[in-house]
Amino acid sequence: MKITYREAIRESIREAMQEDEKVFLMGEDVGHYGGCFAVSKDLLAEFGAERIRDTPLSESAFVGIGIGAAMNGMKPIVEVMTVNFSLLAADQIMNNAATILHMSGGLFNVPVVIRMATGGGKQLAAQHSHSLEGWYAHIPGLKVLTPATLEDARGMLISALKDPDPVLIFENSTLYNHQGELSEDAGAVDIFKAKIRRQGKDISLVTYGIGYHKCVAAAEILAAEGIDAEILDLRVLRPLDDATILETVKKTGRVLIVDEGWKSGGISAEISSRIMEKGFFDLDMPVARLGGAEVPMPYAEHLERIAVPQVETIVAKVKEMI
Amino acid sequence: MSEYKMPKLGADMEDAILIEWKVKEGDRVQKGDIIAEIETVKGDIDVEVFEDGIMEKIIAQPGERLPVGTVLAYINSNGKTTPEEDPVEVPPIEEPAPTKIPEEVPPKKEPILPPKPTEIPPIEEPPTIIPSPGVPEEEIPDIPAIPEEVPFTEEPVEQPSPEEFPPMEEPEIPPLPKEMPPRIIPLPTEPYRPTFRHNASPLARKIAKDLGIDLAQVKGTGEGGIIHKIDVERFANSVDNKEDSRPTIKEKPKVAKDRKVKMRTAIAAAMSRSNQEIPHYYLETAIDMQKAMNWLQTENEQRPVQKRLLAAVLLLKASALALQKVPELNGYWEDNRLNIQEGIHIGFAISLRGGGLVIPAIHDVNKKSIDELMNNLTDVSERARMGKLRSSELTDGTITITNIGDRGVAKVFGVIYPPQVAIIGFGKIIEKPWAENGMLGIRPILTATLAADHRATDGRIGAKFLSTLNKLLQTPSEL
Repeated sequence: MKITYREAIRESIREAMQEDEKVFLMGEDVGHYGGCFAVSKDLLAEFGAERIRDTPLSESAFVGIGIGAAMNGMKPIVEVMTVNFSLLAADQIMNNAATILHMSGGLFNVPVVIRMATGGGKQLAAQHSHSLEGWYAHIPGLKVLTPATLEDARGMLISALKDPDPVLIFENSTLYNHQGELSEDAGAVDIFKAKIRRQGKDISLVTYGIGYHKCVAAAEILAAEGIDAEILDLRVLRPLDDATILETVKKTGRVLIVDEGWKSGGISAEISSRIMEKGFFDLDMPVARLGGAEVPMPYAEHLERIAVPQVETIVAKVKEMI
Repeated sequence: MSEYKMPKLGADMEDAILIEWKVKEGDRVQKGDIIAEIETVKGDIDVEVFEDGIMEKIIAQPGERLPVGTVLAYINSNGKTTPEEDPVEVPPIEEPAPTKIPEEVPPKKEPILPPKPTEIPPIEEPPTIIPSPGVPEEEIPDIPAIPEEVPFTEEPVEQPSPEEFPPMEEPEIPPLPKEMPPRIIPLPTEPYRPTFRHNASPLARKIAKDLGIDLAQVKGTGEGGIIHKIDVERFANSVDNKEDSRPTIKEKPKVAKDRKVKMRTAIAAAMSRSNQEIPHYYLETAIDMQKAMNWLQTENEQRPVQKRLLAAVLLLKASALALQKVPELNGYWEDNRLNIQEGIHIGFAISLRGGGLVIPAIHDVNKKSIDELMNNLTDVSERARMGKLRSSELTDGTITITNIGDRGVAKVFGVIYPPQVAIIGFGKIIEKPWAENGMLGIRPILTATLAADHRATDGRIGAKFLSTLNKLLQTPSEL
């Protein structure tokens, strides 16, 4: 079945809502407008305004409502337009969603699913384009998912809805139009493991989300030049799957982490640090990172382009390392 | 630039196997630093460098057996990085070469500047480079010794970047318009360089360790000579292929077995030469050790077991002080004349388990306290038996003491260790009837002997030494 990333998520939402009447979607413009990125197009007609709820422009309010609904037995899918806007709801996410199970002595789970778009590449400038998933990966009590493939776009939402605790799903906005084959019976996927999606022996490209696709393109170029790159799709930024990361480190001894986020205090720093702590003697050279330029995301197209890793920068960096 | 040659660690040494370099090219070395380990018949010796400078070029490779005098490396002695200078013509080392070793400069000869930590040259000035090659050498100020504690002196220190954090930008960032203040700090293009002794990746280290490969032998092909896994593997393969062509360093049981035989041969050669060339004369005197033993007993009663003194250390110190008064015995017979040595470095013969002996020197014995000497003696004996002596300890001896009393013999007449001109012998301290001032008593008596080179001194000098020694031992608290 040929399908886009956007459609895969929509199908997943639709299926979940058909199966379980406790599932509902809410967020800014998810109803009549069909979602800012058109993910929820047509769902209002199918499920009605009770279950596809347009909300006021107050992230703090509607994320909080989602958390409250989840605590009261519902299965809300809360859509936050971009990760930058999620900062308005950061208090709800951090101080409520992530902590209530702990603070209630294990009495209240918060099975909320919060989806948001992340990343640049659409000329949406410095207030809509950042990759802050690494920030949320900092917080105990949350699961942070970054689906890169159609299979994960569809399957991760299913698994997230089954999870008793808060799950954040970061959808890179440039992936929505990504089209490919997805088997008809694609269903739930695990939300704990990283995945080695391309086997290689010379270097490990550790990445997630849009970075995965750039690494695939880079690996093909490199393969033509005799460099055999392995690609690890992290999939889950919290909890990080140390075992699989260390497995690929052990195999190749060389690691390049590719991530659109800023390197300072970022998820790439965390991964690099874990490799150093647990895989030091498997390293044949220092762990290298490609991250976003440490500037607010530029608006100008050519500047935005060079502010994040691209296929050619990945290729160049790998060649430098080998 | 000067040549660093295979040192001659005693008259009986002809060659040695270079085991490993402890430094690499470009390293700054200071006089007294251990720069290599060699294997001689007397064990594995840490060899020191005799000047300050920079390891300019390493020539000898580990595993080679190299005759004394072979150039092992070039040292840039004034720290300039230009290799243009012709190597200083050093006359080939002749037999009595050990005397050429520059005397130890005690730390007090350092510039009079108080060694406050703040006086350490700022890190920005890489210690490996003295700026402005145009400055005449005389004007180059002495660089105060850099304390070992200061980290990172092995590598040229990078210029600190204007910001504390390493820059985060990728080089692709286009330059900002000129009128804007440069808010993005340009990244230094310096590649990452490990500061370890061997520039090897952790994985390369692990593999080398597993395979028993010495990383010093592996040539790194990475950036700046970094050793990667592939370099170790290539090296391992090449060693496998020519396994028998050359002894690999890590396996030396065969060498060890040979060592006893070789040491015997070496001792035989040196002692034969001594007896053939040196006209020895022999003197002996009996020394009443009552006062010394009383003092030692009183002293030891107040000391914890580990700090207790042996009579040997009193004899060592007394000998040194006697040599101060009779310097003619402290020197070398070279070029048909006596070269009296200023430093009193007494070689102390130590017999090894399983046969053979070594004579490590204890430096400046006359200047050290009894406690220091006791520590030195313990330390050097342990290291001698482990085969872990330093080269200067084998070359610097200016006279030898053989103290065979603990083996139960009453006296010993030694054979001089050339090019030295005397050997002092101490027998067992034995209780004997002793007449003094018309009275008879029982006293602990030590028979001290002297074998000296009659070319260098006459009996009068030897007698003066023994009587001075006797006198000194009568006032042990002043030693």
